[in-house]
Amino acid sequence: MEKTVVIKAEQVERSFRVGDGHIRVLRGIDLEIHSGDFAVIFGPSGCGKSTLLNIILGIDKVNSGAVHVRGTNIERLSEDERASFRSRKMGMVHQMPYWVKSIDVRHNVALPLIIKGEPQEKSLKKADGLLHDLGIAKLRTKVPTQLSGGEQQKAGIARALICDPWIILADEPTGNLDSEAGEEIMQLFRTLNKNEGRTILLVTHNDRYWNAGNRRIEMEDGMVVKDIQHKDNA
Amino acid sequence: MDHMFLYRLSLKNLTNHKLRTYLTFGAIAVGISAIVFLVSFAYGLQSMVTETVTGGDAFKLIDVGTENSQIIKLEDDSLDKIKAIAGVKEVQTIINAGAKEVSNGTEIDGAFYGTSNQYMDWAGLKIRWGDWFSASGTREAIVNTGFVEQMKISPETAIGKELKLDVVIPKEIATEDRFLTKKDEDFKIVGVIRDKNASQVYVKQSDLTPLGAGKYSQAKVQVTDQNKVLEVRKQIENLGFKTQYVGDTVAQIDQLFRIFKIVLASFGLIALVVATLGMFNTLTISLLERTKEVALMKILGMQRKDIKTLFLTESVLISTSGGVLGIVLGYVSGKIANAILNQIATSSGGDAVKLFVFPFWFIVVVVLFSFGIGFFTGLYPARRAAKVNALDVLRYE
Repeated sequence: MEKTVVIKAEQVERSFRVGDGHIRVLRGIDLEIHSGDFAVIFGPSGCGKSTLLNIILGIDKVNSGAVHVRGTNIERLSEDERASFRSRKMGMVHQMPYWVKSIDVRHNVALPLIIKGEPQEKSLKKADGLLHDLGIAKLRTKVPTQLSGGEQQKAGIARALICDPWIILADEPTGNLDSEAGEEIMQLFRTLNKNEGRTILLVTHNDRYWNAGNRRIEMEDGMVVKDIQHKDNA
Repeated sequence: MDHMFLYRLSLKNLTNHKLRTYLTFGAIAVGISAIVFLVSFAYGLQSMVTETVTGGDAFKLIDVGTENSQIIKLEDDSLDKIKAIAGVKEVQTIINAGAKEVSNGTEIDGAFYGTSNQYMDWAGLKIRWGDWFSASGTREAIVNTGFVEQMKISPETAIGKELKLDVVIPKEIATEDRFLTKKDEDFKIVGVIRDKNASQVYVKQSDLTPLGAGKYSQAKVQVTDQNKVLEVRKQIENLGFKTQYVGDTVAQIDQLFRIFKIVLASFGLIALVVATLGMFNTLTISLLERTKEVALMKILGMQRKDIKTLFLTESVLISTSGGVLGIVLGYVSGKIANAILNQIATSSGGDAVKLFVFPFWFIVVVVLFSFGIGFFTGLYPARRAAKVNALDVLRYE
């Protein structure tokens, strides 16, 4: 079966001004992520992984090149259009989940759907279902910061899933977790990919997880140096 | 995005920092209550003064005088001319003379007026003890409390007292062209007016004219319709008389109180400005604390206008609810102050007054003003929140 191209990056260049000079963080990245992929971008700190992720999310811009998300060139969208596009088509999991601290876990999980304009009741019901599926239903009425790192990350994944996104983008999701909790989160991503066919693009610098998905994309100095498809994980 | 959710989220954000919210809210309430208290006091004072000046049918009355003119006299002939002017309903006059009370061993000098019940009523005088002049009685006198005090008796016991007056008729109003004195004229007190100023004695004009008073000092002209005041005044002035109209005084009072209200409101505004600066500070700090949250909401797809609405709602919620509480506080403290003042006034023999007046439109303006404060104070933090760069936050946090 032919796979849809979810993300297509073409000759993506990104540099930042530092003092009088410029640092080229991304140097002509070409990348395609297909539906059903669980791609792990691996590389040392400062190699441009997170910058690439931010560009795909539309919160950072390219200096040249283009990023298409299912055919839409997100560079051509306005800030508000990108925000709207992001909320509908992409789910984001951060290293340290950010929360709206004044509302409980279920409202936080439901937030992207509410922002999208769905009725609150319907959104909360869906959030409850996801929290149940991820095994943290009992924590739904807690304030997010009362949860452990692993629990927060699970809730963060629930929030990323709430809008049924085309792709889940995860930036160092295990970076703040101990190895046991980290393994549990990685297992959750594997399950989402294998059982539900979710497309996942995960960034890590932890070599423990570089083979967690079916693709390993290695970056170095702002360039993709290796793109390996694991047959056994495919 | 569901605005109800934004509203609830704002409310949650505020209740999440209870102490800070209550302090800001309390400061606004104190500022607004100061304005409400002071301005309602100015309104009360204004309405009290206006009521005193315009008591009865005052807006239909024109005061006519000669300003001591040697040529123009207010006599029966000229009164007939005034009565003949279209729009004039009724004319009442007063004669100003002088008198000395001599019967009680001590001499009391006072003003001596010949007038009518109607004139006195139009002048806003009110009988506190006893009664007006009877229809058929003669030699009746109404005195003020200033006169009674000089007699060293109470107003209650003054009723029925016999007076022996030496009446002085000035040359200007005398029938003969000279100053007249009539000794030992008997009068009986029938009523007392509350007025502690200099001694005053009012008698019926029909009792004064036989003593030699043939001209009038002043007249009050009642018009049929308030709209005719201007025209009637003009015609009376064409006859050579000077006129005064209470409307002129009320306009002056209004002008004076407009300034008074601004001065008082400015005192309250000082408190409000401090409170507003406090609120601005709170909102800015709140934004700085929640930069990550704002970035998150942007990443999750929230539009800039919704972020702006969220912050503006918080600001407007604090200021408007603070404003409403301020109105309640101002109202209650006004009522308490009024009750205390009335207690003091009545216990010292005065009349109860309404010194704090809260016009409905003023309350509405204060609510809108509070809303406006919240809106304009929240504008800068809200705009700043909407401009938060999610990328910078992710990069540096």
